[in-house]
Amino acid sequence: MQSYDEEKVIELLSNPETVRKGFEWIVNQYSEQLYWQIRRIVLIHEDADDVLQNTFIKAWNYIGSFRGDAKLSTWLYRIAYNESITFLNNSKEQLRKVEIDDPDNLIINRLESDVYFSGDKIQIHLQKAVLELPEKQREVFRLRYYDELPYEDISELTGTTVGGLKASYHHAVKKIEKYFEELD
Amino acid sequence: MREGKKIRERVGHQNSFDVPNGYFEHLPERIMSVLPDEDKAFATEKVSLWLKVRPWVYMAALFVGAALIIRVASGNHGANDKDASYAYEEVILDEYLDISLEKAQMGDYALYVYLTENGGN
Repeated sequence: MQSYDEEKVIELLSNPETVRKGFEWIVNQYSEQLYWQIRRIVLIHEDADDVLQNTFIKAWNYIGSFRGDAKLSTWLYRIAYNESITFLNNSKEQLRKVEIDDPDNLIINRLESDVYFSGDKIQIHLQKAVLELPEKQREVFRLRYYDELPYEDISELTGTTVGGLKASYHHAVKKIEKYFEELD
Repeated sequence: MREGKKIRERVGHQNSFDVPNGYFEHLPERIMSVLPDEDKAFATEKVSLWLKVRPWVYMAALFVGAALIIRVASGNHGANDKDASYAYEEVILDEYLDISLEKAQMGDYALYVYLTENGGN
């Protein structure tokens, strides 16, 4: 089995005759990683599945404009992140229209009853604590805490300096620790 | 990864998010099956590139044309300069909008959407 070679894949993607073959490579390479990044944002499996498909469709539609200035993984992550946030914002907007003032609470309720979530009460509390963070801190927290990415990699994904990321993660961790202290 | 250690000790290390059996095995196949045709993958680039460049090309032509017209028509470069430049800006703006609407063959709504989207970037 051939191993993934980004240079070769980019070459395949730049030619209309081989673009589908090249895209298949990146779907095989990145679909699982992207799924988990999306899932940790939208929380529910079905929603993550939808957002993941939308991500790849959008990436396909814009593949002609990918110049190789950034890594494919970075480019895909940005699309996935934007699609996830758009999905959440649209869901919250729909909930507000039917006068549900606390959409985050509803998301947590959905998570508790999701058949593809096997966490206990403490796991639910962690998700609640994460939802209380500002969005930028949430993003950094997810990438550092769950994906355990080095700050340099997170900097490439988010466009934020390493120093800024360290400060963000520090504040996020402190807030979540405080959340659990107040729980006790 | 010392930061976050307290959280891990409290919450545990397991991944509580599950997926259906075999989800990842069939995922690439499912994704590939919903992708549009190959020509659509490159069509977006062509359309958006010209659509982005066209208003700037027209605006550049208008600036050059208007600058020439004003230079030729205006013989007085003293106290009325301020009025002339104000009229110049107004002429450019209105003409640019009119020509953009006409030549770009975009409806008012499409131009509004394009301008606000690009203004928001």
